[in-house]
Amino acid sequence: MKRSQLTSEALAAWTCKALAEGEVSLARQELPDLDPRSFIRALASGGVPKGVSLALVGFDEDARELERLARRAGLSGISHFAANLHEAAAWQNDRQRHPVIVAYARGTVTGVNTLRHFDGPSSCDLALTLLGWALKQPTFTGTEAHKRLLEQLGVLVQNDEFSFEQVRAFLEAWSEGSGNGAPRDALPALGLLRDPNLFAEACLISDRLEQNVALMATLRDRSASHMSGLEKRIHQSLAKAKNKADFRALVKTFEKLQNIRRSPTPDALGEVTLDEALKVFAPPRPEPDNTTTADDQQEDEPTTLNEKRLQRTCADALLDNRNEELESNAEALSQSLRAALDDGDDGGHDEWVCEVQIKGDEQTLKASLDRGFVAWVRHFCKVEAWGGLIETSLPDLKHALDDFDRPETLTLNPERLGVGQKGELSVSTLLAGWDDDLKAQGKGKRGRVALWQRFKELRSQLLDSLEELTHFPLEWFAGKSNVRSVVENYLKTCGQLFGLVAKHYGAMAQSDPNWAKTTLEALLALDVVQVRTALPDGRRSSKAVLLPTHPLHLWRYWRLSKLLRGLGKELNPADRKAVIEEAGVPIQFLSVIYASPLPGKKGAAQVLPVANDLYSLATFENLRNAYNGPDGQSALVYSVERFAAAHRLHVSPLRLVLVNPPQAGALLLELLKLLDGRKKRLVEKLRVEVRGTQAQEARLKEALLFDTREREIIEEKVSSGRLELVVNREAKPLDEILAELKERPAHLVAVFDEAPVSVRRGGAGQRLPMSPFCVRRKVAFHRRWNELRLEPVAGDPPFFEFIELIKHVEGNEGEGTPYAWAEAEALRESVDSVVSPENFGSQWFFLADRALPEEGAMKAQRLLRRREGQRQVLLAARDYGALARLMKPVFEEDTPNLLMPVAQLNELLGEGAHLIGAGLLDLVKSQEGRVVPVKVIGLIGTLLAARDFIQRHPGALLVSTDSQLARTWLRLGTQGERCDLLGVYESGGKLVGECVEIKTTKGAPRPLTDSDISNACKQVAATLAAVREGLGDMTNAEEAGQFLAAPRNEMLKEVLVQGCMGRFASDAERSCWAGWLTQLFGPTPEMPDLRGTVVDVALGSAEGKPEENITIGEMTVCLRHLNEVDVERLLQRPEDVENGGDTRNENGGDPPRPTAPQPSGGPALQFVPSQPDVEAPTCVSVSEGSSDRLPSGMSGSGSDSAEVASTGGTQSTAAWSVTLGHTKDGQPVAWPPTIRGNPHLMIVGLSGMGKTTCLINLCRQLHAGGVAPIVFSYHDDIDERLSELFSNVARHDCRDLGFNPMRIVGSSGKFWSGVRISLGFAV
Amino acid sequence: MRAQSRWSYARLREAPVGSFQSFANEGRFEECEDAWNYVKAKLEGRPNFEEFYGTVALRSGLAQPRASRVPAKHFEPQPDTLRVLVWSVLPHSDPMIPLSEFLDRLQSTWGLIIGGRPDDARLLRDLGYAGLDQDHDLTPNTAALVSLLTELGLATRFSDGLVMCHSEPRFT
Repeated sequence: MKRSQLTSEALAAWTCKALAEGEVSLARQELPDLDPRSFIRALASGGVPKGVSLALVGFDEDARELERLARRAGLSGISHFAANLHEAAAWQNDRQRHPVIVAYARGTVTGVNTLRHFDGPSSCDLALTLLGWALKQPTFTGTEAHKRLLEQLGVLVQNDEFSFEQVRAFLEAWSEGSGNGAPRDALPALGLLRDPNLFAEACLISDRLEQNVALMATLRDRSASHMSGLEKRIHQSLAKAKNKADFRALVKTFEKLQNIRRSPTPDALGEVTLDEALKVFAPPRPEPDNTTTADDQQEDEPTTLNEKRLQRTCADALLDNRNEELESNAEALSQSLRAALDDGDDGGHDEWVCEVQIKGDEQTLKASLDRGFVAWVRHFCKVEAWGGLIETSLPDLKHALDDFDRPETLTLNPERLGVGQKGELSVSTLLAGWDDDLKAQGKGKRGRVALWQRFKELRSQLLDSLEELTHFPLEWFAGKSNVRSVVENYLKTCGQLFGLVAKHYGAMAQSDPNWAKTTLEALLALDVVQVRTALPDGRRSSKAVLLPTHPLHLWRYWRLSKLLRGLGKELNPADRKAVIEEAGVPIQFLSVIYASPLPGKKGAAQVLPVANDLYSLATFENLRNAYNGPDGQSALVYSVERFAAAHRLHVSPLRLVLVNPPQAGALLLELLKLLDGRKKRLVEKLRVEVRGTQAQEARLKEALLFDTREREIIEEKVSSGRLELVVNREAKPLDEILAELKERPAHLVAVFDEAPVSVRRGGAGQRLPMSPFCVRRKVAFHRRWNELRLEPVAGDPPFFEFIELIKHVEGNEGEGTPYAWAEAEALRESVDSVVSPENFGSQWFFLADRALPEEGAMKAQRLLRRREGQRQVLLAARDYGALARLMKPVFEEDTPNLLMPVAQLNELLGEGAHLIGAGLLDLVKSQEGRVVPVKVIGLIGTLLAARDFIQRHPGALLVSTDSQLARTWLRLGTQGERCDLLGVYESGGKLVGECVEIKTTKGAPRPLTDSDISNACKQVAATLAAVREGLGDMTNAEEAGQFLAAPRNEMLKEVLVQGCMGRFASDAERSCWAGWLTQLFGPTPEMPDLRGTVVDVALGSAEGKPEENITIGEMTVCLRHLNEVDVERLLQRPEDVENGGDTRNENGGDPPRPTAPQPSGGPALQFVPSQPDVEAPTCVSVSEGSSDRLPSGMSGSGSDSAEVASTGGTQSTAAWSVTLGHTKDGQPVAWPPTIRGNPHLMIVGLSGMGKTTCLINLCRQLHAGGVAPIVFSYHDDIDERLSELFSNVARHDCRDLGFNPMRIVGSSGKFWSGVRISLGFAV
Repeated sequence: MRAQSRWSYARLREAPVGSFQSFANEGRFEECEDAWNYVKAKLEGRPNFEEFYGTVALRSGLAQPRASRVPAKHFEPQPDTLRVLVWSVLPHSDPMIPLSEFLDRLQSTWGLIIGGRPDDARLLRDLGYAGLDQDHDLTPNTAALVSLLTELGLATRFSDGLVMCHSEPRFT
């Protein structure tokens, strides 16, 4: 079958379909070659109505011949024929004779502009029609796989992957081939490689095709240098390989691919298969054959490990309890490290290498060796040295420590503290004084000195393995049982000593306060190195670092090595991965340390918050936000991208304000990617303004420094006019920066690191994160603050005792445990002040900080909240209006019976946003400005089920198990194996924990046998089991083999406490929930009744189904159905209306009603009607979807109540209409501007016929109906007449807007702007 | 010439390299010793032959933008390059020809296919430029050429839509 015939078939099929649909004017130029005979035959078989005039131009047949062909084919519907397009254009002027015109031409014919207004098939339409036609032909549907291939090609054509030319060439090649393999061999005609395995798996056809397309794109876009690099690698592999035949084949394939790159003709494409090409891009690693000799093995490059991977492999070995491997590795690592240290001592950086065994394979560790680090650790960590103090002017902690060898540097010798009248006091004498005094008072026994001696002995034993504890502590503990036992004793002794001192501190302080305090200062100074830095302004900053022998450094690794051992057999692969990752995260468990005045009374004598880590040793600083990493940047880019996608009509340029951006150059590069590729359709131009506050002034300076690559890219974008970059060098307080924004609002403002980290004792603020592996916390309710908090209560020695000492030395007994807090609460007001008011400063507010403000009292709505590395990220907006408007079409299309007004959607989203762990922005397709319908349906199902849950259990605490934290610890495998929600409520005096999984469908309710539902039941049962492990008495959990119980318990605490602090919790509810949490996690934890529910939300059916139960293992799971009627009930929330209030609001008032809908465009699109008598809402926007927000004045009433009821909402507009005039027989003609009616109206007439008068009349009626009309005008007379009619017309000139409201963006990317300059409009 | 024509760019960026390599393979450098010496002198310190001629393609105004990171790379003749192309196919003796004739001559003289002729799509596909679509690529490409020619005064669009190309700049 020839291409020309295929074109004929496609065009004829499309024409018949269009004519059948009632089209009367069809035309298309620039057609490829076509066979008129086939075309007419196909038209005859497809059916053509009477009275069609047909022109076929440029196909070598005159009108007479065409007529003859039609007669022979039995095509009787065609009345006129032409072979000239001008003749066909003239038909247009005589529609009575030519009621239906069909005109097709090969190439372009000029002078027939009138035909441009006719409908015609695009080349994509033709390609799709051709594939549809092929699906009906026996030639192309020999097997099911062939049909599937054609269907898949249709999908790819819709994605613009293939042109019409390719499709018809492909079908031509297919029809010329023979056998079932013909389509595989015809793939080169599509511009793809041959694929003999295309039909190997019917379900993989689409994957294979997509793989082929992707490979061709890769091949096309690879530069010459990339390809030469690839060639080099293949040749290197060839040189190393034992089995050279494979690699020689690869070389040949590579040459063929190079040929394809230069000349990708179908012949060249046919020479390589897809699988061969894939091997070139992912060549197999050369494997030694069986005859490999020892020498050969040495030549092979072994797998290398770094410190991080080593720690992970060690955690892995611990989980499997591979004791022999751990022991041998610890020994090998120790020997290699010591050998490397002995090799040379030049004080510089080099690396050490060690061969370790991982599951029987030998792998090589290559780790850096910082001799400077080793040197200062050795200096401060000796038998007689227990830390010290460095005075320096170097601002960097690491450099200051490396520079320890100075005369001013002090070391702390506990036997010669340098305090006392003669400087004679030591820890031994101090503790002896305690023993004597307390014994004399009869309060406690002696024993502190003995404990101290024991403590010293154990420490000196540990000093033998100082380097090991510094470089690979986890591996060392894991592999050395004797070290573990020494450390266990060490920690125990330390705990006893600190505990005894803390216990009797009060008594001792009464007897001799100075003595008591000096003792504490001495104990807290042990194994800490302080660095006092002289600042340019004369002040001093204080920093501190823990030494490897500090009990709290050892505690984490000792505990991990104990906890992980043998845990692996209980874990599935996903849990295992999570545990290994957690073991490798360098989170410090200690959030503060006391920097003692010792040694030499030169210490800081203050509590310092944790800052970072240095070679896994915790560091503490009193600087504001010492962290300067890039964390949070990718979330910012994601947010900007989603903003552009959710606001397609935003004012250009997209205005972005960055306050204190860390690593501004790298961040800009990421943002500039939005201007490239497919994303540039969303962001045409970007304006980035960099600001800085005084606290982060250094970053402002840094923002002006770009490296060469950054500068090149930024300059290119600036010169092409697509980027405006402004760096405001004046550092100002954040409030001032945000206030300035109100004068010229931005689309998105991003603030980094404005929450100062300081030391607090309870109260407001958010604690810095600690690993749930190491820390236990209690739930505390601060009644006056109305806050639920988690406060660390580590039971393991010596953590608790150490904190007690800090409290005593600070003189803050009983005031709560001191911890580092980030003061993020003030930022809440900043967010609200920028986003919420009418004169807002930014549409979206992005915050990235070590801690975030609680959302409880925040007015702005959360769009995204997640943790990214060291920072937490919050994205807030005034409401969910923009998202709701994007989502609305999904309901109109997928669930036509379910009316989902934007206001209710907005409310529903506001109510349940905290239940969506990943954030709502995932709904928006980043490159298309559309939402993903499946996700929207799933989301709404979840939100409705959540509302249903709360209605069934008033006052219940409902949280998401999809948060980042819950995902880490609650998961039992992948996300699909965890349920959605966890609810806690009281029933019959007993607490109930209920796991809820929601499955939403557009169809009817599903039975238990449905695969989705049965999977959901399994998810719920699995989550219930995990929750059961995390609740109840934890005391003996580890002994009972439930090693994940403790982290899960901590996770549940945190998830539930965060839920309590959510925005919709009232005071009474928080108080009640605090009681429940105390019952669940208090000193005598109660195991609640655990229940599981699967909610099947059927949005497209009113069919009722009773609840069903299923038993899985020991768990019973209930299946509950919500149908269309339930959904409508839930959307209406009748109890809210009746009660006039909702206890779920923190103010005790109405439930959180959405604020007035806001326009989705930029600030310039906001119009506030100035008519006092218009009683409605009312911001009206020109963006799409605005017509559904008609004011209440337009609501139906009286006789139209039936229709109001049928629409299910109070916003029906069916009854209201505008009278346009009367028909000849006097019948009124009305225009109902409703949602579902026709909202469009065109007024056409000659000059002077009254178009403007009609328009003015329309405005008058609209105004009377409560609608503020927006008139786009470019005639002064309209403005004048409107001004005469209405006293309060607001006028705007479009030139002040920065955008053209009449601009229409079509699919071709073109736009039409008839009146670009003189256009004004009036409201 | 069309902004999104990645296909053309990806293939044609190496076209000058291929030309010179063919030239060298045929041993024709011996015929132009001066040019060869110039090339060798310019190649000193450069990593390879290919990069050099890639640069030539950029500098000659055929390929742009020059920045390495922009993905939507395309060919866009600079005004001078386009003028030379027009003059090369439109001698003074033949002052004005229709666009279709101009496109024919561009192909026959230089092997340049713009996409405005009925067979261009088929021709391009047979040459391996498989992904080019008439509506999305070729028609806009032709329109872009006409627009550029019109801006330079080298083409005139008459009221009936007919486009005539001419060697002498004319502005209406």
